Amino acid sequence: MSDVNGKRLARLPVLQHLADLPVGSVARLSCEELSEGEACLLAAMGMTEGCRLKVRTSGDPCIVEVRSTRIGLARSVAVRLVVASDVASATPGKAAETSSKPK
Amino acid sequence: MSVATPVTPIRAGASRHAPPRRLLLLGNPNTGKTTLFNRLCGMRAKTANFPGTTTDLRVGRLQLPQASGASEAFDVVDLPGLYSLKLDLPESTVAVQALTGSAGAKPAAAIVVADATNLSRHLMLVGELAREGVPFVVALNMIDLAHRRGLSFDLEKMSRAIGAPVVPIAARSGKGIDQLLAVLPQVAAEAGAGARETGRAPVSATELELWAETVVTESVGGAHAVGSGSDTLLDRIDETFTHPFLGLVIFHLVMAGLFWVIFAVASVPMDLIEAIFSHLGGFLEAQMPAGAVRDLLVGGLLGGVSGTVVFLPQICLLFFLITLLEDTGYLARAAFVMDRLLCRFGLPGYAFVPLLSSHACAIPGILATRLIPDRHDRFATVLVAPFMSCSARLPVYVLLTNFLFADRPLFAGIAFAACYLLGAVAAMASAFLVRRTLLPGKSRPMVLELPSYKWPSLRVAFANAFEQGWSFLRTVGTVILAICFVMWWLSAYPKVEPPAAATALRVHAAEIAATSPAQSARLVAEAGRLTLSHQQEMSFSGRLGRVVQPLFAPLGYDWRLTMGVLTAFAAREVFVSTLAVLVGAPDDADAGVLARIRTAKRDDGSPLLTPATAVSLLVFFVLAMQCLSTVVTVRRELKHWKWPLLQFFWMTGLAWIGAFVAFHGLRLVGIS
Repeated sequence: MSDVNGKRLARLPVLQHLADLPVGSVARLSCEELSEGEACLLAAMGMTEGCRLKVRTSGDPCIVEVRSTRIGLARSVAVRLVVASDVASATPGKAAETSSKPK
Repeated sequence: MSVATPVTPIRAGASRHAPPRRLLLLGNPNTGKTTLFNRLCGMRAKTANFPGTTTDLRVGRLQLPQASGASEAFDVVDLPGLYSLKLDLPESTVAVQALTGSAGAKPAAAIVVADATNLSRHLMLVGELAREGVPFVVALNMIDLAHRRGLSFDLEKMSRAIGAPVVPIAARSGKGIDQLLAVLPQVAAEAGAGARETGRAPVSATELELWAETVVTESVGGAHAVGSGSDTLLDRIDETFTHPFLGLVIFHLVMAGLFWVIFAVASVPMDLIEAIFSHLGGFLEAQMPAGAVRDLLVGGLLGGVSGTVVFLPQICLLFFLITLLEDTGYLARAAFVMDRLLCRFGLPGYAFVPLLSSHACAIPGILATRLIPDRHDRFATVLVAPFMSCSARLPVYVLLTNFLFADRPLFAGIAFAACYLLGAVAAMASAFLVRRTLLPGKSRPMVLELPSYKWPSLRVAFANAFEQGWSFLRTVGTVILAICFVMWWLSAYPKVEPPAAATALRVHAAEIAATSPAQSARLVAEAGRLTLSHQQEMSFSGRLGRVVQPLFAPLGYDWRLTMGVLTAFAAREVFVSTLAVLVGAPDDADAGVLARIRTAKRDDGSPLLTPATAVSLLVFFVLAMQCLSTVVTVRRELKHWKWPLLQFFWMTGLAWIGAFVAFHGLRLVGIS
């Protein structure tokens, strides 16, 4: 990736909804658009802001692995979770290549 | 952390020192908390209403040796699994009440169970607990699995960082339990020495997370090993089990298999129980002089109780298999399959566990709805939960499906499963209606931890089956025994003279006894049947049954079946016992109680049960609200009588219509 002057730019994490990530993607939870109760429950289950998660199964439910725990999320929850692709640990051809913006 | 010499706990007997102090057992869901509880308390646990809450919790007794040489009894309270003490959820509220002693004495100590393979998340609850001022010990469970995954633990360092002893255990194998038991008296002794130092415990959520990560970084080695293996197979299994179509097919196959096993395996002990009761009845008849006492013992109590106890193997087997299934980790996946289905009818995926629990008994199912966060979601689930076929319906299902498909266990199993399906369909349809009328709105989407797949614990499954079986026997020994006594009295009194036809038959039989003994015996038997039938017809129960019978006549029931249905409104399982008492056994005392009911005759000599009547009864029992305890529980949970009354009239009305349609539909196609 380079700008018009040919200088290398730092790769910025791409924000997108968790439901849009393909299987195998690694990302970090950026923010959520959930109710307070839902957000607190997710946090208590280990899904805190900035935590690293890996998509094990996409669709409904979306199954993610967080801190060695698998958590199943109904699709209607997954579409309200915004994640940043984890550039450092992303698998080539998976999370790093996804670039859709949060809606 | 220092660990004292292992000691042998004394698990039996009541303490001489009263009252026992409390030990709280808490932890995240799926940490092996219940397995540890069973290890500590054996099978002597009882379900009790915890003071200050309306939640039923398991409480067990544990006696621990003290330094003085004496022993002290503790009540071990198994709190519901929770992720945090600060959530606005019922399980968090119960735990906080128990920890603060807001409705009673403060606990002596707490055992917090943490999963060694996923420590950072579990330590967040430990950090919260450290703020409560209750002495505690951390039981680092699944240590064997953690070691296999390449993890190592510096327990001294971890213990210092947490400010409490840390004991590595493997609750399944029993490893480390002795060390835990040795530490507990020391921890409990701190309760009297003032509150624990809480200065180092984190306060905010961010601090808590940072603290947990720091503890793991400093005291756990090889953390990178976790989850680094190939999980492709697990992903595929998860994908299959939660697949919209395949997941549903697998779920139905699993459930069908479960019911088939129950039917196929339970028949052996059921036959044995029937034979034992039959021989016991024969023995008592031979030993005791004829009279009211013998009739009460043999025909009333023994006959009635055997009609219910015979189903004990099936109830134990049902709970045993469901516990095994839950332990494998499959049911959490099935919850997501059901979530997609339930959402269409206005119920949340969270309703799956309460609805599944309702298959055992509607009451724990209704109590489990407290875990449903949304009020309308919860009310709708409570209203439809009693449609799920509970274990009290099992005796009726078994009697009638066996009658319909004698010697064809596969068909009987299918009919059995169809009853469960009919209840579930009625529940979904009712939920659909109620969410569009009385409780409008969409259900809340599902978030659920998916536990690791593992081999189920036979010990836990046996413990649960034993507990449920014992609870069933207690009901038999109290409510059902009392109802059997009342039913026997109502059917035996007032005593009436034999009918003229029976007297004439006996006279004729006496005249031809010498010339034609076989014909004479037949006449005597017929006279006996007429006398019994006349006695029952003129008895209190016969008169009461005939008063109400017109209401049930369109469903194909005579006065005996009507009485059976009426008594079942107190508790469904009483139906079989009532029939066992009402049909009596003058000629075939050696036959089992179920065989007697299946071959019983009505007053006009026609069979008591026909295929159409049996199906009509099955439909009625699937759909009707026949449980006083459930009615009271619904009132208690939803705080208003309008809900249980609505539920009662809706379910019972639907049952009457369903049974009517089934009975007349079958007759229309030539099945009577």
